[in-house]
Amino acid sequence: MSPVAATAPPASRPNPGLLFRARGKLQGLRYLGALMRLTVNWQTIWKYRRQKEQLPPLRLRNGLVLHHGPYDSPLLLLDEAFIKRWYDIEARPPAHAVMLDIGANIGSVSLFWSAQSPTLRIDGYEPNPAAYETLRRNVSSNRLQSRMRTFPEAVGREAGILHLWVDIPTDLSTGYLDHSPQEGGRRIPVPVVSLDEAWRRLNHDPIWLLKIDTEGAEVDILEGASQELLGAVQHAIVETHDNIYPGAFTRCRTILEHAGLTCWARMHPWDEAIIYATRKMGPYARRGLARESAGKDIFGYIKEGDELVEEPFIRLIAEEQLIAYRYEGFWACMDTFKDRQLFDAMNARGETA
Amino acid sequence: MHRPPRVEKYLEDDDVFLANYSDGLTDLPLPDYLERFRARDKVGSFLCMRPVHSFHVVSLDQDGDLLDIRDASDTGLKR
Repeated sequence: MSPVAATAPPASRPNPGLLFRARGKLQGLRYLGALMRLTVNWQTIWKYRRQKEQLPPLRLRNGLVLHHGPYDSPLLLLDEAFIKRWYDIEARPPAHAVMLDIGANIGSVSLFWSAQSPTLRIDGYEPNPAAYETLRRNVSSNRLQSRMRTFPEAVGREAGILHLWVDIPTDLSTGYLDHSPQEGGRRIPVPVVSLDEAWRRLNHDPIWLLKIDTEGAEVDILEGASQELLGAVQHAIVETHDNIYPGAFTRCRTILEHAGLTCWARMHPWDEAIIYATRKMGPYARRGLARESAGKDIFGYIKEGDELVEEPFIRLIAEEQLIAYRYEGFWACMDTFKDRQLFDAMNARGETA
Repeated sequence: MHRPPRVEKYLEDDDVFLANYSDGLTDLPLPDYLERFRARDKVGSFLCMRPVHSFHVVSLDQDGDLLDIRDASDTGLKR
């Protein structure tokens, strides 16, 4: 750590309510521009925000809707997930990829990723009851029930109980502080499962994207995970909170690198960071490499037991990835004796030259 | 249908492969077929033909009495 960083008081995360005042009018206008590009009901959102009233659901131009409750910070979430795209990576999920969203909050990051592939399957974990209710609402409002499951649980080193701070902004909800992150908080016990249990519920399918944003639990989650699980992770996005759990960044990065993932990080000035980890070879690598060279891979559309012209073709058609070559020339079945006779007759007439 | 996934490992890094999924015989010009596929940036392509088998299409009433019989070529199924 540099001497300057060591002596300066740690910057705190911007208060969502102060977001615009703190960043000045220019940034506010930039945000308004982004809001106009991204949402249908930006006028109402902007008006309510200025009047400091409870905002309406955010209706995105791509058809998604983000519901939120009184303890949520919808504009901050929209900013991080859809404008700054802090939880985005360069890769795009192949068909039927799996995402684990640990600390799903009200689902903004899951919604972002659901829009990147119509076949992405997501398991979301959120222990804060208020955020969880809204998460469920966002899953059903966006018709994601068939491919997103939600679990009202925390994820940690092992199964147990976590005493979670609630009745505060849900994105600050943590079980890893002795004091409330903001005035007015109270603690409630919530169930904890291990990351391996979450993986077991996915039948140990390879995890295309592991996203962790858990306000201090990230070290326990990753250090408690088996090598087998970490080896099945293709990409990870892990928010680390040294301001809650000192050393979290280094410990998380070490685990991910030991598991064979290549990491880079976005360092926030308020002692948090986002680690982006990826592996070249891995459970999805064959597909990933093929996508890089050819752009596409048909094996991503075929599952065990499928009939080629049924399920895989339907998936390809849904993504506008299948074309037909109309041919008016010769094509005939050569299954039976009758087919053979037909061909011999054509041959005798000189039609096969 | 497990055949295409079974050959996946033999394809290594080939960006395009052809699979014959029928006992058919054709004079399809493969270079033209591949060129049209590559020009479109899609995941898959298949050969599409009008059927050449000879059969008839019948219309029946509820008792099975025949109302109409037509050559399949008159129905748009066959040239």
